Amino acid sequence: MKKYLFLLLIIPLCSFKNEPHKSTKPKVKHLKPFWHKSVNIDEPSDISISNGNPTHFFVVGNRGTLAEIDDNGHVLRHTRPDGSDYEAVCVKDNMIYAIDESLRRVDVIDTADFKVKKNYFIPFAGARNKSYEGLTYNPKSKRFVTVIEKPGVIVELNEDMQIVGQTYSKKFRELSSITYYDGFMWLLSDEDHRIMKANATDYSVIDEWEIPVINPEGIAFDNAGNILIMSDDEATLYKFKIQ
Amino acid sequence: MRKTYIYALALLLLSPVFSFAQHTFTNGSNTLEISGYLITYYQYRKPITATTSSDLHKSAFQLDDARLNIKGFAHGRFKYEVEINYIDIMTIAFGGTAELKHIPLTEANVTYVNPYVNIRAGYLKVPFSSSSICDKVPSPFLQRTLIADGDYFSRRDAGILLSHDFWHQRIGLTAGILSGMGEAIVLGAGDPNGMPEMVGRLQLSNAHYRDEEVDFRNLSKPLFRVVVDARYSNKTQYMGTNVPMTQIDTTNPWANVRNVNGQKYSYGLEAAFMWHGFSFQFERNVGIMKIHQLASDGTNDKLYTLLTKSYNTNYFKNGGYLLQANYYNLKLWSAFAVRYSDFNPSDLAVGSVQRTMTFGYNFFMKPYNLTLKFHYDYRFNTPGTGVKWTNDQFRGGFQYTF
Repeated sequence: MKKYLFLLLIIPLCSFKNEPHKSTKPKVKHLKPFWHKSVNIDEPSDISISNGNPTHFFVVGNRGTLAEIDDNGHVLRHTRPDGSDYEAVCVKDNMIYAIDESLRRVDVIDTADFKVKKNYFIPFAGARNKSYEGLTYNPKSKRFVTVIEKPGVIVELNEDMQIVGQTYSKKFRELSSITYYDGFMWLLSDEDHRIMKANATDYSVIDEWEIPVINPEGIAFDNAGNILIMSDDEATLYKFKIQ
Repeated sequence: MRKTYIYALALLLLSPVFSFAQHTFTNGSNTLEISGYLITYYQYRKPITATTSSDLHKSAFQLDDARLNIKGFAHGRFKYEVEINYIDIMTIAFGGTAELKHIPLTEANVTYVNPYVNIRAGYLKVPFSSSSICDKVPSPFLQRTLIADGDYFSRRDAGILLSHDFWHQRIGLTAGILSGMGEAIVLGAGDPNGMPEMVGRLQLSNAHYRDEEVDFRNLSKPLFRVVVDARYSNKTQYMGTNVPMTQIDTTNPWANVRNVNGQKYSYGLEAAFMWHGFSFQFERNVGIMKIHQLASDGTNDKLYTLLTKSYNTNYFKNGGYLLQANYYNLKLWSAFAVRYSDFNPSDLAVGSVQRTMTFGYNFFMKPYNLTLKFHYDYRFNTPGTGVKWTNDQFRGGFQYTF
């Protein structure tokens, strides 16, 4: 029995790592929301600012709902849940790009009538619900950028939705969303409940903040520069301000 | 044999671990996911006392699970799942008999997903007792506690379940009709009166609560849940988990009573909490068995005779509770768990309480496909006897998911 106890003590100690560059890492700060409100959308999974009206946002839910909400979280219009597994959304040129995580399919949807105009297929052979979780468009590189959930991978796509690059990093243990704002990539991790500000070219993390949200799945910025976080398990929209 | 296992374990530890478990195929409107897991361990059972016969045939390396799971999602409306444990197939193929707890088919069902009421039909887990519903893989232990291990109620059955959630998954309601034969339905067993079993479950939480015991997400806000569940059956024959299944154990009539010739009411009450890697579960399950006087062959039912003659009643209760605390530390790649369970197979039999304290430790190899699991059961003495109710046991092994 002593042998077993010795083993039990030794194993966790072996997992400690010597981290010589620890001092160069950004220190994690804590953010508190200054506003939050329940959103009447089932399992809301991602959020993106509308480029037609900057006070409006598009939200997708993983029961297949696409909705437009205002900056108070009121649902203005929505589709019926059709069973699609939408986990990611972004807007470009008045078209909504929504990813069905299970089917690895990008639906291109008209912002005016919410009709699907086109589909693209982006392959991924891993677990059904550990696939594409966020989507954004980088106007400088003219590439879409999406994230794979776990282990976190950043995937770059050209405008025809072909995969042109992937970035792996130990920093991205798990990723749930991504958005491009102010020249930077902003990444969200559900399991680490963390927002990361990253270089938009090499995705090196510049700064990071912990947020008190259960299951944060969507990130966007409003016109005033506030961070909007969508919680899936709470069906709640949070607003944070970075000083 | 022992060397083979050690080499296999070492190989797994040293080999590059695949980044992504599970494999998914999609054709644009349907998806099919293939996954599975292996669990194997070394088990040591300590003799109850120094004078107890030291038959240690169960102290050995054991392969517990070799499961293959297929899940599909079709046209955004139908989910289906089939799961098989190959170890239990081997047991039946070469051993010739099956314990009800070890029927190889563990899932075979289809769910119609819609905005109103989800309908699941087929062979499925009975929505009773979170500790029974929770999958084996995310559990910090290598064995379920006695109150949820399938000895005293069936964990799976064939039937139909209706479920709906309200207030963004904060309220979950499930109701269903099952055969009431439990896992025996796969073997073609039936009850002469053909009456089904009814089951219902209500859960309330402050946000969507997943069926997990350990807080692997290190939640930054407290998450809690309370559950009440109940089931009812009215059968005409006894059903236990041991072989032969329809015969009462004459030396211990309270052992492994799943169904009786009569009515069985069961109810459960649960509370759970998780926050910052800490999690806690409480579960209380009670079964009330009211026995019919006559068995199906017209003779007096054996349990009825026992109850009326020895205890002057026609019913008895069994049940118990568990308290479990877990802690997950991402930096240590570890989860620690301790569980206390108290089970009484009959409220009529004095001194039959079975108490166990279980300690669990998990070490997660990055990126989490491989987990080393350690499990120790400390048994308390049977009240009034000064002797443990069964052997203490240690299990140490690994779990590999793919």
